[in-house]
Amino acid sequence: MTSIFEPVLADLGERQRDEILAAFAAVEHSPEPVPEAVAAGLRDATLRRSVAEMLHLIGRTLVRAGPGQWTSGYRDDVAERLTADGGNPLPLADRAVLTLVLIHSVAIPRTEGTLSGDSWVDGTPTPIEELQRRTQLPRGELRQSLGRLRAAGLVRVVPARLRPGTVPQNTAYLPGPQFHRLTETARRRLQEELILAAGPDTPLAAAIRRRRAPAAEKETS
Amino acid sequence: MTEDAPRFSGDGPATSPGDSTDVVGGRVLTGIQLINISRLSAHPVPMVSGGLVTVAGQGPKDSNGAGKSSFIAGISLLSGDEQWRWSSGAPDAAELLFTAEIAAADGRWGNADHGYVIGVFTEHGAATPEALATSALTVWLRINRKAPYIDLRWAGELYVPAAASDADRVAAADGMWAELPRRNGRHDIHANRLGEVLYGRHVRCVSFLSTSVRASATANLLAQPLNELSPARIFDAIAALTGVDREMEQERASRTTEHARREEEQRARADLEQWEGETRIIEAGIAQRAGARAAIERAGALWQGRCARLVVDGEHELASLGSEISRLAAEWEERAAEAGRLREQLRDLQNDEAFQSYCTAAERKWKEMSERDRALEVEERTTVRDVEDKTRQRTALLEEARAADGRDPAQAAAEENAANTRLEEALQACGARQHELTDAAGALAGAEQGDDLAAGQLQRLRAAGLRAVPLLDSVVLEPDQRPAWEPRLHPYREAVVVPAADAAQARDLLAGLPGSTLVLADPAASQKSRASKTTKTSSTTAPPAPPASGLPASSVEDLPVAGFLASLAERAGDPAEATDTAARVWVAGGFASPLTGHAARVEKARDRVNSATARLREAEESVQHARSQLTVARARVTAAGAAQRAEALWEDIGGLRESLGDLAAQRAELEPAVRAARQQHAEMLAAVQTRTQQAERLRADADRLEDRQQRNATARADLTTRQAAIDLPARLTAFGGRADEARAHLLALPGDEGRWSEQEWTSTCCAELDDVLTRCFPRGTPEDEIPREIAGLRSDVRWSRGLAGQGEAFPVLHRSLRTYLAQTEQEDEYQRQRITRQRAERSADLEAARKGLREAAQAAAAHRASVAEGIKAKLKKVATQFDRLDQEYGGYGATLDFPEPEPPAEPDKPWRWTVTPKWRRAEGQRMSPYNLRGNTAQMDEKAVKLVCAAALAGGTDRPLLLVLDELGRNLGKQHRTEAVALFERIGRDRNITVIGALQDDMERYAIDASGLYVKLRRSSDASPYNSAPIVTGHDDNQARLALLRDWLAGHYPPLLSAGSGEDPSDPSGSSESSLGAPTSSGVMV
Repeated sequence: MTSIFEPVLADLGERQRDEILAAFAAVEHSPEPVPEAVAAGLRDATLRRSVAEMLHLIGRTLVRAGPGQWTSGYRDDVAERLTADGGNPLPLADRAVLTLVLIHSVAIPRTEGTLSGDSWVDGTPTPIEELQRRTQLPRGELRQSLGRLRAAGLVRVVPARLRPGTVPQNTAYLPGPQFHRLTETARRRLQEELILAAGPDTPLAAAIRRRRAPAAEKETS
Repeated sequence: MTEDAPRFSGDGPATSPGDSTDVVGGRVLTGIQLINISRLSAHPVPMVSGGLVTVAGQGPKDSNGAGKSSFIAGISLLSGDEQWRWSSGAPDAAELLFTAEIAAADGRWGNADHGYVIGVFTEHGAATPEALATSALTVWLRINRKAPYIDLRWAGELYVPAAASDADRVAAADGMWAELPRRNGRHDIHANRLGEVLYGRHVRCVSFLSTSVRASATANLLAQPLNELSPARIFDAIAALTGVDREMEQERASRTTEHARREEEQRARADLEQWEGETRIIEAGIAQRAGARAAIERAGALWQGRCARLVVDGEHELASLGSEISRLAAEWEERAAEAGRLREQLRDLQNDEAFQSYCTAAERKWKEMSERDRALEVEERTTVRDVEDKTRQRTALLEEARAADGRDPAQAAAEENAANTRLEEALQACGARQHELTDAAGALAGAEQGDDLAAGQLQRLRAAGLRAVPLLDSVVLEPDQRPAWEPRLHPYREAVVVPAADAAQARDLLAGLPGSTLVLADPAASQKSRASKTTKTSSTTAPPAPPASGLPASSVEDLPVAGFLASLAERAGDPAEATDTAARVWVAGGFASPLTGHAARVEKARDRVNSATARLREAEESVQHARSQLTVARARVTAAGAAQRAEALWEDIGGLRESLGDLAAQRAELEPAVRAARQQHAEMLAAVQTRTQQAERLRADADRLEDRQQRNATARADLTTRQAAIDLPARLTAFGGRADEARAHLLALPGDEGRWSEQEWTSTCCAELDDVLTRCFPRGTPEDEIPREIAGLRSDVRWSRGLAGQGEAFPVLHRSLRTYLAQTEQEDEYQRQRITRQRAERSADLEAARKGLREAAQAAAAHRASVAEGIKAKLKKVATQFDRLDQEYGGYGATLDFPEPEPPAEPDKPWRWTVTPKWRRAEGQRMSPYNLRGNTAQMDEKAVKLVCAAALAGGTDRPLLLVLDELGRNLGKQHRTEAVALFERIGRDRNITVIGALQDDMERYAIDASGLYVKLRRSSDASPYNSAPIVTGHDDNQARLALLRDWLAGHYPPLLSAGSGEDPSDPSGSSESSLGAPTSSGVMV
């Protein structure tokens, strides 16, 4: 492992090398984004560049998950090649459930204007009842699916929000910390795909198609 | 320990525990105690600062295995050496822990899961117990086998476990650790902050550690031969030693800020660009819709013109249609009267009764006459045919009658009867002859097969498998024997010869056939003897009898009947008198053919058949004759009848000829009446023809008139429809005024528009509206982006096909588009304002970001310039020191080469400095760079000098620790001496402590020069732990060493204080010096 990183690390001193490797390990293995404060390799732009170069060598990239927060994700070109054959490791049912959570927790609040920014991690928690009502899966399968998604870090459980005058809700779900790992392009594509799927006749969808058309033409030419 | 926690917190610096830094400060290490580290014993070991400290070992065999490397590794760990990879949590530290397997004691001891490195720091100059106690700081590093590998606590006093034995000290350590306060809020400080907390990130230690303790991933100045390091790495090492690295870090921090600004600026710019891109689309849409609004107003005005044109045209058209309709109505009236008249005439013509009856009478008369005439004609023709038929019949009959040969019918019948009778008779005769022939043929067949005699008996005997022959067949008579023998044999003509042996069986078989006669053949045994005897006896017993040879021969060899024949001959007498004299029987002879023998009997039967055949042929000829006579007689009878019928026919023909004449007369009589009737009929037909033609003409006239009327009505209905379709009120409504106003509107139009046809108006309007549509929704806009109503209208056939239909679709589409444009107008205005506002805001943001970037870049550049100056000054000082040290300690002069690097192209790229050490290889030579191949010892020496120079030039008051495992590993004898002296002198002069682990063979070089000598001892491989180490000081250090030992042992129980005298090597001085006495008396100085 060290050998392929050697070009990046060769000229560095003991401490810098140490800091970079620690930061690399942190962003790769920490489930949540790593705050700059805990890793000198992320705090310093020069060292961060080295971390990014190391990640680049293995097809990953450094993703900014907020002010002073960093994590890693697949490079856009690598992700494109990995998914070029349409392969998806998630079972169909899990994808359906995850889509429900994304729509309810992020897409709808963002459309309503109650959620700004392009993060896919925050939003309105989706209560389990909502999922049960909307899904076509049997309950047992839904539960299993949520369990798998949770283990994969694709959804997380949040304590139900107690509003005065409402019945306390059961478990509710939000997209999981793995969504931090989406690059900006990936986040944007996710949003656009949801728009195209949910409202193909909206002006937004039209704008997306218009924007994509020249890109596709350029690619073909 | 009775100290409680509050005491510690009060001891520390005034800062809060969470953000302590540089706790150790300028203190130096005065003692170290290792607990559960490798196999080292837990004794506190005093330390001196400055000069050379040598660590030797005494294992069971040689110096190896006593734990030297672990000891100095513990010191380097305590000193925060970077090699331990603090940011990663110093995982390698766990390998220092006591491991039973490595200590070869895994059967008896478990692994230590944690251990402690305890360091006591005091002020450099503290020389009394009070001064030591005042400035004491005890640092505890707890090493764990699992993460976090390092925990850090400290106490502002002397705080070490003291007990009588290793085990007690080890046991006490955990309790004492628990008493120490946590220094990071509710947690301990871990490896990543150790350097900062203890030493304020000053470099306190440069070490070369043996790979047996840990494998260094990277090179440092002491660990590798100097020439394996790159100039950049050398700079890093010098920077760390001189403290320049902190300035470099600050520089990097300023570049980080610049980088952050640059990112912000880039983000703002990308944001603006993207926003501009999206906004341009929106603005284009807004502009299009604005154009569309103007266009739709134009289209409305044009439509008004079209409506006016429609009103005016409608008026004109209504007037012309009215006059046309009234003209047609008048015409219709006129033609209706004429048609009525024609129909009347036609009816009259068809209803004339007198003409009808005339026609009927003429018709009837003609039919009657013609029928009568035809009946007569038919009768006449029938009679003629009868006459012809009968004449033909008569001719045939006359021909037939000629065969009668003049006989009348009666005569002919009599002749026929006579002929019949003769035939009957002949047939009977013929039958009798036939019978005879059949009998004769049967006899012949029997004779031929031999079945004519005794047929039944033979059949039975042969079926039973017996040999049997008729007697007559078995006897052969010569012609001269016949007269005598035929009578004798005749009575036995039905007899059968069988062998004598089979007699009984034959009798049984023939019992059911009465009259069967058997003759037994001669027995086979006696045949020969008898034959000879016969010849002998015959002469005696039968004198008249013929000689023996006179007996008939037998035709069957195996059934001889000689005996029988002899008997017959014996009994016979004179053939004329008796055949059997004994029985007195006479049988007449004289048979025509031979009685005996098969051939003779067949011949007889064939003669009989021949005669019967001849007689039958005669009878058949007579029958043939009788038949021909009968045939002739019958023909004559027929012919006589035919002559009679011909006569009768001739009479009939005469009668018919008469009636034919009568009929001809009647027809001649009827002829005039028939001709008159035909004339009358032909006239009548001509009259009917004329009338029919007249009626046809009338009807055609009437029809033509009605057709015209029909067309007239259609034309009028059409006109009426057109009249109704014009719907002037609706056109007036569409125009929105009166007819004269419309006319005035047209007149007021500019150019030739007043004369435009409705078609021209429509196409112009629609072209304008199409323009509006295109502006709002450019070609290729997907259907689902257009409001459904407009999309529906646009795709409507009438609109998309163009032509006349567009006029109808126009108002609806016009209204929809207007509504759409009106609705979007307000939104467009709002969007435009928003865009303007946002553009201003975003531009301002971008400008601000740019400004921030410029400032940050300037600040970074300025900072970098000052840092560069600082670095150059510092490096220059290092170079000076390096040169001085080199010359002082046996070198020929050295220097450093450090070109200033270009500032990095991008703020997050490293600003890489390089340092190339150079030295003279001999007096008066040029300086040659370090990476020129030289001898290894020289490299190491220069490296040490460089490290020292850097530490000296650093200008800090911090003590420096050089830790070297395998001191002098590559050196020859002279070099070793020099090196050791170098370390000692440098150390003493410069407050640098060199701690070196020695191999055995170095001891004698080192002991003299060492300020402190530590010997780690292990008595045998069997004991897991070391014995107490021997610690000896140089003469100059003896007093201080004694002081330290006393002080460190201040907590010791009293028994130790007695032993810790001037001679620490005395084994009796420590209670734990268990087994072998320290042998090296040479240790003493």
